[in-house]
Amino acid sequence: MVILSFPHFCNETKLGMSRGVPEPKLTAVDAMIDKLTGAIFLFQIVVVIVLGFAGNIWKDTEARKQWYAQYPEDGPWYELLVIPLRFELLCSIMIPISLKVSLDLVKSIYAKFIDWDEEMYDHETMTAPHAANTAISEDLGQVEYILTDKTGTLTENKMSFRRCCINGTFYGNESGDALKDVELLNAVINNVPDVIRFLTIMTICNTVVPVRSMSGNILYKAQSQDEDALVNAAARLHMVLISKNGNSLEINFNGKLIHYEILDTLEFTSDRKRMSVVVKDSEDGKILLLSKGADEAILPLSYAGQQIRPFVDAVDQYAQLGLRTLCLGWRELKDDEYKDWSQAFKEARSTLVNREWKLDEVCQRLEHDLEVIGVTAVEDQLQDGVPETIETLRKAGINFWMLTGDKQKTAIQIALLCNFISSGMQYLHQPNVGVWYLSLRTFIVVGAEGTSCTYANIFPLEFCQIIGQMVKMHSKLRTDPNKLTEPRGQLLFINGKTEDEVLRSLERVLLTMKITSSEPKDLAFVVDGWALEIILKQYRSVFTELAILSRTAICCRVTPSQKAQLVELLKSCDYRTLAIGDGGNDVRMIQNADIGVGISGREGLQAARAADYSIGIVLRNHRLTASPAVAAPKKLPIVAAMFSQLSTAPSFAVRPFLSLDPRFARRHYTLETVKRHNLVAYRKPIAALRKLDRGSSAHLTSLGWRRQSDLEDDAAGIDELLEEERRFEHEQVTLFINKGLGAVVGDQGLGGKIHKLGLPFDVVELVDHTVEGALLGELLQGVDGDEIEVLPAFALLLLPWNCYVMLTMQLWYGLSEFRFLKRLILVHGRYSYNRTAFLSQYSFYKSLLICFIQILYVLVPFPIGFCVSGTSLFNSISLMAYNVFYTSVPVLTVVLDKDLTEKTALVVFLITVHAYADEKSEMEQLSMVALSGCIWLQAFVVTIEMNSFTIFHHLAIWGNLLCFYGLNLMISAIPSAGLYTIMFRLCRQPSYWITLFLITVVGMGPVLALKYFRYTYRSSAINILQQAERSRVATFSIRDLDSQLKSIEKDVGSLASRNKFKSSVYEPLITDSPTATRRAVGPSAFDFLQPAQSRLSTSYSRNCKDN
Amino acid sequence: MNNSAAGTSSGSGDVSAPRRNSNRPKYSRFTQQELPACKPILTPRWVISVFTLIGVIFIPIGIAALRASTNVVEIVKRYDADCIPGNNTKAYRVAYIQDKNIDKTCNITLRVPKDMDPPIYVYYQLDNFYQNHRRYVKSRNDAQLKDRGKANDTSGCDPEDASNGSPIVPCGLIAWSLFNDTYNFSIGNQNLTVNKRGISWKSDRDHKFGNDVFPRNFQNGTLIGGASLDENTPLSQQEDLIVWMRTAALPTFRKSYGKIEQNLRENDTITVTIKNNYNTYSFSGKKKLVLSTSSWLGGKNDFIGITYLTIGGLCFFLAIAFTGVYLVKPRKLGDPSYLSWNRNPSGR
Repeated sequence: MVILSFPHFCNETKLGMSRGVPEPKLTAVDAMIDKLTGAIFLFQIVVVIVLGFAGNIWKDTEARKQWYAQYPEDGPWYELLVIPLRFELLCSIMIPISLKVSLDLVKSIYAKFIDWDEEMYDHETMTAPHAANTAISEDLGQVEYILTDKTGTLTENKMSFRRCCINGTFYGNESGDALKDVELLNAVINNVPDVIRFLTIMTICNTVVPVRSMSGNILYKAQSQDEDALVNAAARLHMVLISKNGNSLEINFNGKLIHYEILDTLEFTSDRKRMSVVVKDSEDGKILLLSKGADEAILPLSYAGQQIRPFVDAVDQYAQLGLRTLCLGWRELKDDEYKDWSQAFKEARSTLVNREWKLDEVCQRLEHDLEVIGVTAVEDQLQDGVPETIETLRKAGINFWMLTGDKQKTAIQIALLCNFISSGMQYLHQPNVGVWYLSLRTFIVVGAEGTSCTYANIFPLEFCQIIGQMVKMHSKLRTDPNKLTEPRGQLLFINGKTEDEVLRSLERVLLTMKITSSEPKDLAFVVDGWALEIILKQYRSVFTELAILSRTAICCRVTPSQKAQLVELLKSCDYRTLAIGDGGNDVRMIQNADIGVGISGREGLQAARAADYSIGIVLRNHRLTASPAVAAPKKLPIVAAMFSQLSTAPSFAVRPFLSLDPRFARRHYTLETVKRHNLVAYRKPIAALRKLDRGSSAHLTSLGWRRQSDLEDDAAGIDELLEEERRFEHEQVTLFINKGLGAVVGDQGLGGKIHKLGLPFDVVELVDHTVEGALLGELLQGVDGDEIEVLPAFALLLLPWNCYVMLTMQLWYGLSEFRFLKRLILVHGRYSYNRTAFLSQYSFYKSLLICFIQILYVLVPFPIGFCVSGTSLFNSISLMAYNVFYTSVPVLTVVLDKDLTEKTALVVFLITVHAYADEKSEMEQLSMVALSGCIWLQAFVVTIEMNSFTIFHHLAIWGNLLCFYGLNLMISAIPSAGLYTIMFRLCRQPSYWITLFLITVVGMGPVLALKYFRYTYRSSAINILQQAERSRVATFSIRDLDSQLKSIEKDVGSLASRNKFKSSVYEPLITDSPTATRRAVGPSAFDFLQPAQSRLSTSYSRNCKDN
Repeated sequence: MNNSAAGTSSGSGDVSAPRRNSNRPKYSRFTQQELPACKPILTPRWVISVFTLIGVIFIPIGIAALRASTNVVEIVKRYDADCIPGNNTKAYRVAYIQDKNIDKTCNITLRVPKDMDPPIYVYYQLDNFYQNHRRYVKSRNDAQLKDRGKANDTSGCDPEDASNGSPIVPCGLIAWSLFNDTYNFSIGNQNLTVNKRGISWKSDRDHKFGNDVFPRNFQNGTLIGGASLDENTPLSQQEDLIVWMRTAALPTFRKSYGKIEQNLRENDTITVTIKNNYNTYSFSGKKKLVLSTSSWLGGKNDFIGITYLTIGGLCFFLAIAFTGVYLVKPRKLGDPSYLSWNRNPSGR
């Protein structure tokens, strides 16, 4: 019997721990609905109590006289409660219970629209957008802050090795590509020791796994793009990493094979910002410590006496160019020293408490006195369309914050490049001189080399230099002397090492912000991780104030948890935040934000890097698979059952593999590595899980399992498998053999093996799925070999289930490129918001309408002494049909002006009562007339509120009306039904039709007149744009409008200050939230299926949402 | 290389011929939200013509409805107070009506104001009588009314479900409280026949009330409510009961009593002999006798006509007002200069 144990799983894993506790996400509309529901409930209670009292009094005084009702003389004490309860029942429909369901339905349809959107489809990577959480799409339309990651989100995360500095010698400065630098190539050929050492570190000090493909090429599987770039660059410089096999490692240098033995790997953590490996040279037996990391993590560790100045310069220079830098260093270890340390390291690794901290401490004991040998510089290019996207979104009044782990300079540069700081920043370029205007009083003249600057005291010298570089680099960009008008950009730095410094700097920045906030200027503050740490601890309130004032912020050197804290901070100010990122370090931010958007990587490159993230993807896809809108909910219980049994017997552990829907895996691929979709269907789950496995072993070093290189090998193997299948799809499927975990299991040996392992069931199934079985065989054998070994795959399987509820609450939108964000927010967000708002409004309306009629019915004979007995005017079938059927169908399309609820109810009721008085006042007839009145009124209300009609609208509105009659006529044909012949009878009466006509006109006339008046004489910006778009396409093309708006958009700043300007168009009920004034999107643009043409205007309408 | 050594398997499940772009969203006008749509906008011309049209339609209908209503001749006579001798208190009246030994016959006279053509409908109208009372309106059993075999099914009829240990047919408060005043009409010495057939809905007679269900054990209890029924007539022919059991939705209602199929001349004097049995005195309800002709809209009801005229007039007024505003202060639709950010911030 094999025993599996799970020392840590689910919430105890690192993923689980660092995940934070995502709150259930409520959209603004949801919150509003909740509030409204509460209010309506209160109202209902009041109505019930008042009417209940009245009813009881009436009963005691009047009803006793009504001999025909035969009230018992004295009923039991609870009689008093009966009447209020009756009214409660009567009013129960006041709260639209179906609303939530309808909303969910609409939202899931909406999510599908996002999935389907072709304009957000990335042709290059063949990645479609994906909305994993269907619940909160309307919040997309209300985003106020976007917090974005830099690497991989704004940039491509396609790293390429560009420059390096080895011991003070710069390579690649002239050509811009070190790999083509002749000097470097010569140095490699001449075996210059420093260069060799440099290359060796590049090659060895990483977690890259080389994989030999069928064609003999070596492919590298790397967790980080930086490492990948470095290893590839080294390979091109003739230092080729051939294989990494357990602990041994082979390098081919200029045809010569060099063997190393990896003794230990000191993992990269975001705190240490460096990683090291301890290797033993197989030839001379020397033990070497090779390290690489961020400059501030490596340079201080240099041995006493080393000149680090050249490296600092190199790092600065590279950073100014926007390159990512890494410093490499090494040192030789004495045998004794290593042995001692190794012991400590092992102990630290096997502790259960505080392991991470201990590991760090032990690592630090070894990493000192390094000889810093060089600096590498890797380039990461901006993605397509990023600047435009950011510009548009900023014009739409959305604030951008960039949170990055990169250096300040790199960050600022990227920020400038992508219009982050200000689209209004302009500069004039003259030969050799760049002039950068930052504000009226502050401008900088920069010489060609960035040498001379004039600057206001706000800016540090470095900054001017950066700008100098900027001017130099982008001189061709936007060179328009004529546009040199009043500049609007200003960068404010918050820095400092001590609390005092930070506070001073913070207050200064805040003051500047306050002074300039009235001017249409772009102010951005820059803060680094250290200062941020202090700020978040000590000066939260000041910072909050600053955050509200500032439209833009750049936070550099921030940790994942700081990112999350910033999101929290903004959320606590009641802003709607959207976090976008691609990597594992963004996961918390994405979880915490109101809306999380993930960039799915290019060509699967990022999938590896964003290991946690891809887990996230799978988890959410899991949910997606389970959601009714997509498919197969029945799978879930099975999986659930399996999981629950998982811990009791290992044999059960096999089940999840089999019972998991292949879709599970397919989705995974869709988002991650698109080209892998050709895998054999039944192999997919395993592959996906292995993929997961790999991610975990890479990222979560302290999962609580003894992490062994075996697992990595396993992961590499799987990847190889995937890789191969991708490349040789038509060839025979290759079964890969995992050396680390077990022996080869072929087709034939499987059954026996499974039996040997004591699996009581499903053997047949396994044998049928040979390949799967083989993989399982290995897996289980690995278990067999080491009884305490835990397979992460299982643990992660547990994770999805147990953490399911928690994790699925976060929203996740998958995009393939940043530029699609524009469309996601401006088009889908807006549509979705409008639609949801209307739907909610409508639902409340319809409930209130019918309920008011009921109450009126109770109250109407008031002068005579009203009948507070609690009789329902409508029979239960009618009511149910009204709620469920008639009004749920046009629910996708319907709206109504909230003000008119009571009035319309009154109209319907009074007309009905008067038209059907005296001899016609038969119960069933009267109720049917009133109901018909409601239905008709609603059909017309929808019609009048609708902005565009597609075939679906017509179907919904008129088809619904037809349905009403069809259904009622059908019911009227059933002799046993209470409604028997009623509908036929009514339809034959002219007075019925006349009454309905009257109800419709009386109900709709004021609405139409009012709407017309508002539309024409008090039109909102959206109305005007609609009019412009629709009525005068011929004379006034959208393009003109476009240019018109473009010129106007400069004033967006001032527009923002007019926030208080309340929308003159009536707002959706739902926007009466505290922040409504800031985001009152006119409701009239509610278009269910708006054609492309209007899309153009959509983004503009969004711009003017504040009006 | 050990770790990359590879075996092969049958790979029978291979998906061959991969489809390119398989996860590319399929293009359709629906998925791209580009369905053709017409987008009406509220132009002045459109709105004004709609209001004019409504006015044009409404006023003729209003006139027609009003004419129909005024052409209906209606005689309404309240008799509940007149049929109790003497000027008396409520307690007296209640005692009077509950006293079985008094002959409660009373005569009233009606004057025909205008010629009335047959059919002339005879109604009784009750005020302040809540047939829609929740205790009352549910107190019946439709199955029992319809099906002879279900005589014992008296669920919902409480408290009038059984008396003396056996079930009441028809059970329930509604049937129990059946109206029991009767009217005899005569002009001079000539009797006016009142046709009591066909006053109820045919559908009720055919499908709701069984023709083999006979009243049983009805009004046998200690409390006598309204009328009693002939035990030899099946329910489907007890039209007064059928009419009564079509409960009214409002506390003031009229129920058919019968039809007079004979012309009545202007200034004819009709003598009505009323058996004033029904107790509305305890809850101060009024009883009225109504004779009415009918039109295509039903009985006399000015409401529809007047409302139609009013609404039509209002619509005309609105149309004129909008036209006026439009002419006096024309406003270009969709003019971007109205956009808030296009306006001069200092102006307005």
